[in-house]
Amino acid sequence: MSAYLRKRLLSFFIVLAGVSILSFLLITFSNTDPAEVIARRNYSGATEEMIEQVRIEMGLDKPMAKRYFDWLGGLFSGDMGISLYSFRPIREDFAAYFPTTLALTGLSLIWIVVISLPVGLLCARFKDGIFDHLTRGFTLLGICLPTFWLGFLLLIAFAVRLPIFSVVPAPGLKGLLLPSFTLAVPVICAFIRLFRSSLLGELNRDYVVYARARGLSPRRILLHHVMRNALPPIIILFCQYLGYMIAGGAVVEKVFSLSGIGSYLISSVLAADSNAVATCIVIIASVFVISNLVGDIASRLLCPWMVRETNV
Amino acid sequence: MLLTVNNLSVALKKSSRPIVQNLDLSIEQGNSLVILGQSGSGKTLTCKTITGILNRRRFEPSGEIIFNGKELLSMPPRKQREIYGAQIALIPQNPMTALDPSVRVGKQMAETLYLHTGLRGKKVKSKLLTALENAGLDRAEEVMQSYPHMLSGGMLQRVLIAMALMVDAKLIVADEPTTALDAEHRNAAVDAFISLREKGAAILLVTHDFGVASRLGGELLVMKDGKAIERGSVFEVLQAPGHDYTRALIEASRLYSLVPERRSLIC
Repeated sequence: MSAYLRKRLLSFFIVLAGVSILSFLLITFSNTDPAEVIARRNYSGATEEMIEQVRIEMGLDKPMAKRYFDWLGGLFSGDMGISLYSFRPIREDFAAYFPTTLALTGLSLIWIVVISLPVGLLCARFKDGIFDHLTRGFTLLGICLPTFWLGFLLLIAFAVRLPIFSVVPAPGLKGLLLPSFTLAVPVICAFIRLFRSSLLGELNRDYVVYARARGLSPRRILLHHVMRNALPPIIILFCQYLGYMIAGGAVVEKVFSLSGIGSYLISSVLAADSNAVATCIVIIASVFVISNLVGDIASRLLCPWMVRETNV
Repeated sequence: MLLTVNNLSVALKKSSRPIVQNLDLSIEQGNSLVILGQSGSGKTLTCKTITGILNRRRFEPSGEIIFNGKELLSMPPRKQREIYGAQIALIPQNPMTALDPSVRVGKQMAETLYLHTGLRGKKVKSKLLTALENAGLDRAEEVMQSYPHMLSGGMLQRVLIAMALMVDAKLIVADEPTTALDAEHRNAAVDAFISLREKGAAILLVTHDFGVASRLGGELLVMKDGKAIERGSVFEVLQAPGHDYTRALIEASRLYSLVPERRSLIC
């Protein structure tokens, strides 16, 4: 396990270094000159000298390697530079937008766990029954539905026809219930399908037959043995979706008029705000890589035989 | 009689094609019965039906399996589970895949013990250690702490035997227990069954290996195409096979030195 952990941690740092270098190159080679944008905002009719002055103040005249490490150090210390669009420190923008995204993603993850695990279990337990067939239909539909359309449908149903929620998001948890559910639906559907097939694969294994010969009840076999062995693919996918949901929440945020990181990223891209885009990319990539690492480690703790299979 | 199987037939549900036909067999406490036959003769299916792991979605069994005076086939699943694993123990063909790979061996043994005896707490450990040691495993404590993938096939088979020992199973059904083992472990496994028999358990052993049958001794039943074609004591049948098929099987086995020459058998 420790050798595996070392290997994974090494690749973790290599991936993060690669992402940070690419993001830095994005800032450096973008068409937007940060010094020019800021100088023109601060001084009306800024001259070349003024722009040059700002460039020196911002440290943009230093060698590229030095700038990269300054920028990286800034990311770690929380000084991510200034947004070329809102002209506020990016840290402040993040402090304003990130909590919404975190809450949205967190709630979506709860929806996913609470719905997909029991439904997947029931589908596997009663394979080819009515519930299984109905679920198959619903999951196919759920995977195909575009998120924005589903969001609008839910708004019409639960905010217009049945005014349980408001169209403009209410503050607090209630305002996030519909958006988080919308964000979760395609993932839930994919998870039910995957979990069902993973469980059915496990149910055909020899240890299940022997567990029956030991006198264990089908319920105990499913919940204590089969489920545990069927979980790793779900955990790994779950952790991969985490990164997707943070960045991919933009559509849902737009539909439900929420201000989160996803919509911030889109505004930054449209405004050619390379500083903010690079910071978003690094943060989203870090979340993605960390959650993948956590998922892999959790799977291996749950199923120790996977360690051996990796080493062979 | 501990186990009596009357007129057992197992057919494929879809085509109603019979795989096992009108099989009768019986085993007494402290005796052994070897079912011998080639692949596809229906011996494993018989074994699965007796141990309650037959896939009832695919196969339809009929007839009677009477264990200790109770008919098993018509018994509700809840009642069956009180017998399987407690009084009838299975030693499956491949010990490497028989246990849950993610749960420590000791925990799986404790789970079975609790299920059938309600025993938990401190007494469990000593009971498991004794069973593992009696099954011939040194360093029993280490074995309990291991995950199945950390043990060899021979060791895992002994773990499964220990599980039969710890619940004092009356009937041990072993489905080709020596197939996955090398020659050295094969003899040790058969010896383990002999000692189980000496302790009073009945052994039903399924094999295609005459060497295993002759080492274990006891009664023998030869199966072909789902039917019993010959029965008698192992030594009688090996010495004077009454059916051409049995004779051909013995000759084929001798070519691969699985069966000792007749003279050594008589001695």
